[in-house]
Amino acid sequence: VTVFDTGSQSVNLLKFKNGLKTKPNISSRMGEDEITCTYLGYLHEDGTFEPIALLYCIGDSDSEGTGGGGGYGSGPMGGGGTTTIVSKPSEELKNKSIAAKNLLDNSIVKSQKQLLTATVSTDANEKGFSFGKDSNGNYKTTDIRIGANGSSVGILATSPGITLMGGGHTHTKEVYNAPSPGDIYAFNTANGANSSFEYYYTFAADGTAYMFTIRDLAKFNTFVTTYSMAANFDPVTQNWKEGSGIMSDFETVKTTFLNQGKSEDEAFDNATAFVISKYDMGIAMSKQDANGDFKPLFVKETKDATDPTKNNYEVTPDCNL
Amino acid sequence: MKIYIKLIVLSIFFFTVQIKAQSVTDTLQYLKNNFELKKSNYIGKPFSVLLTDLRIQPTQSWHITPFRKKNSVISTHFYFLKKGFTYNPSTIVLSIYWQEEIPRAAVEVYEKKNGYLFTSDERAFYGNKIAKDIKVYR
Repeated sequence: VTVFDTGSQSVNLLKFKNGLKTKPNISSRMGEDEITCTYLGYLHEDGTFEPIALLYCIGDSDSEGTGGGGGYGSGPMGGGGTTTIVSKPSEELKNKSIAAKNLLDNSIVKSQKQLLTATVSTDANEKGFSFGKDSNGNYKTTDIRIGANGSSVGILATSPGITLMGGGHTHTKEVYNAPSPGDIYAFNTANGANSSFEYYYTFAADGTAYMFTIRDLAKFNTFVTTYSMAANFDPVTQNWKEGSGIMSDFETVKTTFLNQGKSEDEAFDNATAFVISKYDMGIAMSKQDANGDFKPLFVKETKDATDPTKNNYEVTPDCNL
Repeated sequence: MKIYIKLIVLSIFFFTVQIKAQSVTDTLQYLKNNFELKKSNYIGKPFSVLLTDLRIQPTQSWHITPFRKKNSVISTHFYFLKKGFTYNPSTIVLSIYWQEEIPRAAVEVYEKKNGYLFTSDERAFYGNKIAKDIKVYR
């Protein structure tokens, strides 16, 4: 149960396991996807509220809302209280990251992915394929498609006899590792054509792998409407359009990390993660680690302590979507 | 006599301050009016021609590569930032597109040496490159 204490502006996760109550630290974004729940619990003299049972919730959230057991006893003051449960996008992303890994580990998908990336370090053209399930629930993949003349390859969102769940494509050594702005729009188009298409992988020439997943479809659709591809994407550079707000923010973060001595690819990774968060795109970008796990990438913006006209940027494990 | 001298000195001081203030606040307009709108004077010519005509000099230069061609510099962004400042969304950009793509490795030699500052190295390096297009924006 996640309890949002409006008084102390804190969020705690209360778990009851084997009769013991634990309070692990979590991070969560307040003010989004909130539901209000009424609890029975103790109101201590110092103003803190200790819930002992969930009575009911009002609102809309997919966070867990099960209450703990009852209990009447020796608390300082018995009573009720209203708290707000906040959904945990970091938890949702964690689950989707696990699902993304499991999908790639499926033997049918894995074998096609291995074929796709076998020569990625030297390929001149991008390659891509999609995967899903047939009517019997068996995993299937599409054939591998190959782009032409160094241009991007289109990823199929629908295929006869298969309900496609996702797709992956390569980035050749001439292309930056990170998914491009064009990939963000392509993912939205794919999901628009087939709502089951929820995982979008990018396999870079140096072996780095990325995964886009949808965090909030409404926000994803709002983003591509508000920041249309025509107005914000440069087909020549295949990047955000020069002079656009997104490009300015992208460049700000990119130059910050380059100034810190990071590689161009790492600076692009971080800049992409930052604009995804800043423009509330409704998606998340994860990067595969050495264990094959996809870890969401977040970049935090903070005011400089000594000069408030400057912002600082750092990679953070805390979800800021 | 002393009063006259003081007045003259003060007038020169205020005049200088005014000109300086104007050149700072009007950097965007200055660059737009004199280089973007008059780009035909500079396109097809070495970048040194434009640098010579610039009344204010860039302080930083950053290469730009297309997303799908990361080893080829197609343009360079010149910034007029004060010392210690880095690019931010309000930075004025003089964007020069090059007639011929420049290998990224060649640019990075100077960027690594000088930390993206626009020094005599960059002036010499970019000076003989031919401009294809000029954009100015904030």
